[in-house]
Amino acid sequence: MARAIPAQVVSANHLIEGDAIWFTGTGWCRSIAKAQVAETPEDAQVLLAQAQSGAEAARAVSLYLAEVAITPNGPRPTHFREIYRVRSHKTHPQLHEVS
Amino acid sequence: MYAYSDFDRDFLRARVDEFRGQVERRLDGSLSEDEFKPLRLMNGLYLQLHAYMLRVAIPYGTLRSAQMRKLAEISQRWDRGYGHFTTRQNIQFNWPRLTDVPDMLDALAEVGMHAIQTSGNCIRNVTADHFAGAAAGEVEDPRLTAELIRQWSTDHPEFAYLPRKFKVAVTASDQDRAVIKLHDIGLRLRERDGEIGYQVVIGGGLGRTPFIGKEVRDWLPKRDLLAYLEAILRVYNLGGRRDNKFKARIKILVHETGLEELRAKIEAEFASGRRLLPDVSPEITAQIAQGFAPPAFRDDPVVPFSPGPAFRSFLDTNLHPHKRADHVSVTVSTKPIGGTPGDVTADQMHVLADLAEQFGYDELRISHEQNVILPHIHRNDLGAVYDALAQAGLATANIGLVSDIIACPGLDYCALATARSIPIAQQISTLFGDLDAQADIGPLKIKISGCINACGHHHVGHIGILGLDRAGVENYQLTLGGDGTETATLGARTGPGFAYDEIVPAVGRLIEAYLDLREDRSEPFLQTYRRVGIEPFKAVLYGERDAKAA
Ligand code: SF4
Repeated sequence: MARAIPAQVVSANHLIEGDAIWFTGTGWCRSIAKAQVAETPEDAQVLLAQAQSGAEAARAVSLYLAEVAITPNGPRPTHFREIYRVRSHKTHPQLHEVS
Repeated sequence: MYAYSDFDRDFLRARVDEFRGQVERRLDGSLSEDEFKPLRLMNGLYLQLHAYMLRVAIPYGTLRSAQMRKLAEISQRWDRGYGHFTTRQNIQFNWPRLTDVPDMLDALAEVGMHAIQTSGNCIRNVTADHFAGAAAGEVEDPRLTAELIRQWSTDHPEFAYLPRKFKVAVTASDQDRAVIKLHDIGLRLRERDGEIGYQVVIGGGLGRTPFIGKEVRDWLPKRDLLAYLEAILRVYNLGGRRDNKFKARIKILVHETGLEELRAKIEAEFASGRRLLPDVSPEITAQIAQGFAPPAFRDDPVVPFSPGPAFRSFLDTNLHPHKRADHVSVTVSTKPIGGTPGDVTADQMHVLADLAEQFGYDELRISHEQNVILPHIHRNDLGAVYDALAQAGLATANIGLVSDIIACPGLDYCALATARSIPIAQQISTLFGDLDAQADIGPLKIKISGCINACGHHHVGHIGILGLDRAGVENYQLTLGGDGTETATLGARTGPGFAYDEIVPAVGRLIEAYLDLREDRSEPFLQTYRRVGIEPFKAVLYGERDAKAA
């Protein structure tokens, strides 16, 4: 059986803060739940092109497509690397109060 | 310690101003990320998983109190109140905002520090024995050599764009604490007929294809050092593989060309007398020597004392003999049980700076094992130093023991990581939390890398752990019997890797097996391993039957 083609979102790092951000279709957000999902490889390429050229493209660095699963709470990352990017940082919880 | 001239200070200011302008142009869009990235990397600024990371050079791991205080201040003002000491004796700030970095660099420049050449294909921060200038049995302070190389290699016009990064380490003792055989060039000072010179080792390295360095010269007179380094670098610069990033280090050139042929090329280049830079003047040599003159050691007679049990353990574990009987070097562990190896908070940095100033002749060192060293402490001050360290959570008595783990940042920070390393270190440390039990296990070096780049030196860990991504799942390979010292050896892979929740129990089984196998408490892990070989360890990892298949 052919492997199901995973859905994808566009992820990047914020130009100034450097933290993980996701493309909403019109801009960027810090919650993957609000990311725009592309369900086919073709749509994913279109979405990536939009993210690269959109009005807010200048805020984003190192853009790439990341695989997600679609859940009732929105897209969730499937690869552990992306899961750690989504989670808050763990090694010094007391020092990581993000403003 | 190095001393900056007006020229150095002006140069640094100009570099920071230049970078400030580059950041402004990046923000207003005149520079694209492709254009900006090499510029930020030249100033030590990486973009990691969660944030930017600024890597600051600590030349040969030596710091003065004022510099440690400045690092604390920077971490409080522009980062999150802590810094991470690395296996290259550097410090990394993990959370700076791009717009703050020029100010951070300005602050560093105030104390003669910078982030230049902490990235890119150039000669990186020269590292040295962390007990340099303090250890008994040294030929001379290896930092004299490291400083000479630092001055020579900083902004060296010919070697600014090498095939790949280039790392030099220096030691001056028979005991190699600087891992010189795993560097692109390793130098060991030695004495012959009353003259001081070098053993020169090239082509060592960890990473994807690890190699133990090979001796290219067993004797190099001191006066020839820079000319010889220039010859090595020139041969490498021309011959190194620029076609393949994974084959571009000098270790591959040595391997593919063969030591004899490469040595002939280096010697021919050396003999040609072609030099880009003039020989070092006696004034510069004298100036450097003056900067590293030993402090005016106190002569107070040593007063005997009787320590309590916790202090006793600390004295047993964290001291290193000093060249003077009335002094010792104190290693401060950055690895409390369950903590993150190498991380030190701003408050702790202040405590360390105060101790160095009050008791340690204003000197601090960072070791490649990610600990902090007070190299010169009078024995009479040990009680006061210990009390202050204990209050600051810095008195863990575990140096050289199972919880004194090297761990790279791994997937908690690093964009290149394929697995987490810090939580593995934390769990191993917690598993063997009891310090008495650790002392019973004895000397044991566990080293963990979060990817094949091997920043955590896993190849030379007595137990090495390498985190990989196997089909989208974290998987950890084990190596045994590695050694980064004068008897350098690469660890041998045990067999198939372990899942994230299996690796710590697997390490537990290895240590249990060692305790069963050792002849007695005086036989450390590495010695037992060398005596019995890998098979008994494989058996406890995989079971008797799987061990044969592995
Ligand atoms: S070994 Fe890999 S994961 Fe660890 S710091 Fe180096 S590049 Fe990053």
